Amino acid sequence: MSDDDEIIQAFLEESREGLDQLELDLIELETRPRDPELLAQIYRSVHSIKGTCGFLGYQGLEALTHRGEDLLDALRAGRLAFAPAIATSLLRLSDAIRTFLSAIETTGEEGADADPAILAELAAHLEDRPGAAAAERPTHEAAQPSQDSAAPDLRSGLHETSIRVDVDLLDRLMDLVGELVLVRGKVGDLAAEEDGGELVASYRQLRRISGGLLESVMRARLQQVGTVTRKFPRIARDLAASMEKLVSVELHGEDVGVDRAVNEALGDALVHLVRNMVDHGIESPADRIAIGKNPEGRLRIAASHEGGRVHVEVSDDGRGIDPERLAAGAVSAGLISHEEADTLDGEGCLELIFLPGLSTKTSVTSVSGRGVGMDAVRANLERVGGGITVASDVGQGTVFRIDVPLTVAVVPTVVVHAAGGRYCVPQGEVQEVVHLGPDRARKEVSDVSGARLYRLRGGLLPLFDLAEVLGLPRSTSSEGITLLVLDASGRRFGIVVDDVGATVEVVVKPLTRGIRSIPVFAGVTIMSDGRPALVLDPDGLADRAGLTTAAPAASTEEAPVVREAPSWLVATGTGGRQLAVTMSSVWRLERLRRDRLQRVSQTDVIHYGDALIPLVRLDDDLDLGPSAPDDGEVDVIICNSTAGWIGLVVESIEDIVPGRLVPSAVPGGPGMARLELDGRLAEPLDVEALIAGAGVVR
Amino acid sequence: MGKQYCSFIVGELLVGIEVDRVREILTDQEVTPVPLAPTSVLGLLNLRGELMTVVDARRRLGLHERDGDQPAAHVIVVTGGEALSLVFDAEKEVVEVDPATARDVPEIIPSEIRTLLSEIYELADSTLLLALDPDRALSLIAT
Repeated sequence: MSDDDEIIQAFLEESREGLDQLELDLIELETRPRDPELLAQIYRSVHSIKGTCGFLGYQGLEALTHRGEDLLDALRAGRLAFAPAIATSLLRLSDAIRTFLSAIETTGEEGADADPAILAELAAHLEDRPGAAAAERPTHEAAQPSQDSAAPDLRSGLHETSIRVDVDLLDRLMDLVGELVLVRGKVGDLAAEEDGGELVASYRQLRRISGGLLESVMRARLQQVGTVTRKFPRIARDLAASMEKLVSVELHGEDVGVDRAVNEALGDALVHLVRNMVDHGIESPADRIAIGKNPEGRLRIAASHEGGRVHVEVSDDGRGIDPERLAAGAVSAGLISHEEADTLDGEGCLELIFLPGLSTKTSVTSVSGRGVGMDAVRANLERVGGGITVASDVGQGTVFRIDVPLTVAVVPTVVVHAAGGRYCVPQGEVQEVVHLGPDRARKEVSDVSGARLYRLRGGLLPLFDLAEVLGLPRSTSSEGITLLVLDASGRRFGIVVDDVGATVEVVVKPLTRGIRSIPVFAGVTIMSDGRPALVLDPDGLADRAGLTTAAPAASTEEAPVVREAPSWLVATGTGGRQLAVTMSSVWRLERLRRDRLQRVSQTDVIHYGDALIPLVRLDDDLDLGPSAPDDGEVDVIICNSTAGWIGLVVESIEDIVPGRLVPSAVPGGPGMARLELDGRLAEPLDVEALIAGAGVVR
Repeated sequence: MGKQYCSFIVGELLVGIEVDRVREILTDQEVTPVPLAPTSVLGLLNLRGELMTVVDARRRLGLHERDGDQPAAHVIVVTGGEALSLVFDAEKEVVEVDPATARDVPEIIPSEIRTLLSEIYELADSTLLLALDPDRALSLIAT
């Protein structure tokens, strides 16, 4: 089903529900003709249909509903007194709308224009001529509807019925459909081998039917957002009371439907957010009065849906988040450097709230701990395919915007094998699959003190062995290396696996008891052979592998957002000096045979592809001198920057560690990079200056 | 009316779980290992489309390791709204005991076992039946 079809289908369903409600309300109106709330509700029902059909381009229907809206507006504003004839006309309007909806459903078009009689009838009421003949004639007609218009009415009444279904049964249905989709994939493979033939035709049919089944099951799983949001007024009130604050919660869009698994994730996120807001966001009543706010703080949870996504906005009118304080907190917690903090704008600073280990509140409270877990909130939402952003006005309040998919879709994953196990990696996070033969593996993968780096198009990509990260014995193979390049929220890295299998669509299910808190797994699925397979979480893998830095972005791709301390390549220079180069300027690590070096007018150079790269030796005084002639091999760090290329000849390459610049103890001396890993000190090299000094060869 | 227990062999012990708590007993199930899981977790089991964690009763009771190819009895128990499989060495018969003869668990039994038991019965042939509290046996696993 295309997106458009889905939107139209949703429109039809919503409109029919709206009409059902409208009809009930109209009947109710006869007993309470002056009830403003009831009138407002009726008005909204018609208005929302009008709004959507305008958007979808159904002009005839829009004109019809517009006329109804005019009439209701007059009633609502008191310009027109209610009369039973008006209710009758409005019920006729409802019938006419249904006729349009049926036409749209069966033909995709709205068909004939609205019956002019109903348009005239609605208009007649507005002419302020109670009992006018024009109003009576159609009313009379309405009392004797034709067979045609009566039939759909009756049917829609029967369709109203719903039944309660056990949640476990729904989950079971989803599982079965998930397995069906897997088998479908298998059959598809078989069909692909056959050229044409009956199998292909049958497969197409299977695909269509199973697709329809999947969608129906997903629809059946929709639950109102209100089932989770409705508990928050109470939660917030109780929390606030325990902190001697006053808080009220306003709910909107409680009737928005969302898959129950997504709804659960949403509920967990909201618990965190509401707690944090009541605890940290909302000021005490005295403080609020002092700054001219209402002593009662207000929280608002508003859900809406758009296309296949559900948006939930959670806002407060509290003190807001000070981006500078947040940045300062992140710097003092060692999460980012001063330099990085300086480059962030207000929005960038607010993003920091999602870093693990960040606290915005100086005191720790029993309720929400240490500005607790916004990283976990984001991770949990990402797990169901959602996301969260934050905006804040200091003194005015904060708003978190959550965006989740309407349903748990079937996720395409890449199957990988490692240490005898089979795992699924969500395809969305796999950037590429690379196989390196033994020769290329030797050439393109460097081992730096146990850390493996793969040279991927000018970048250095940290490599981890999946088996090792999972605590399993690493298999040794001489057949080269197979790896997946993953992107975990901006952190790029490669995982080495034994084998990469097919791409399969799976339904990811939550982890079971006892293994839920293993962060490298996002869930589990049942494969087509009936055996379970764990679904990997690239974020969790990166965390577990100890990946602290955003890997330098390859060639033209945009640089990832700096989320962690920058990392430095530490090397021992000639003379034993500890040197450090930021990883972002390191291009490759080479071990070169002496005879590859060439001397061109007092400078050692190497041929590197088409370029000649000057080499410098870093001796005791950090003077730039030609490298000493020597036998054997040398380690060279090839760096590049906007200024050009340079190769740094070092004694040995030590390590890659996160570190940040701290002021030099020697006044006027070079800045020192303190390496946080073990407190070692190393001298940061200014690659740009070295390149400038060595003369650029491009 | 006596209390009925399903009894199982694990190591040298005879362990009982109340009949009402046992959903079903299966043998020779294929278990998919889960890396990084707590030691007592053997892995995952797909039981007719229902995924569940498999817990090794031996490891849970601090007994020595099971041999790889030793047959296993999967006892499916529901705790905390979720089904789990608790693996014993072998299934024995259902025994009926008189609740009045229940004895407290003596202090001399190692604490890793004692804390998981609700009571002990001496059977007619004078073997001891250790009545296991399945909730406790499965509760220490992080949720």
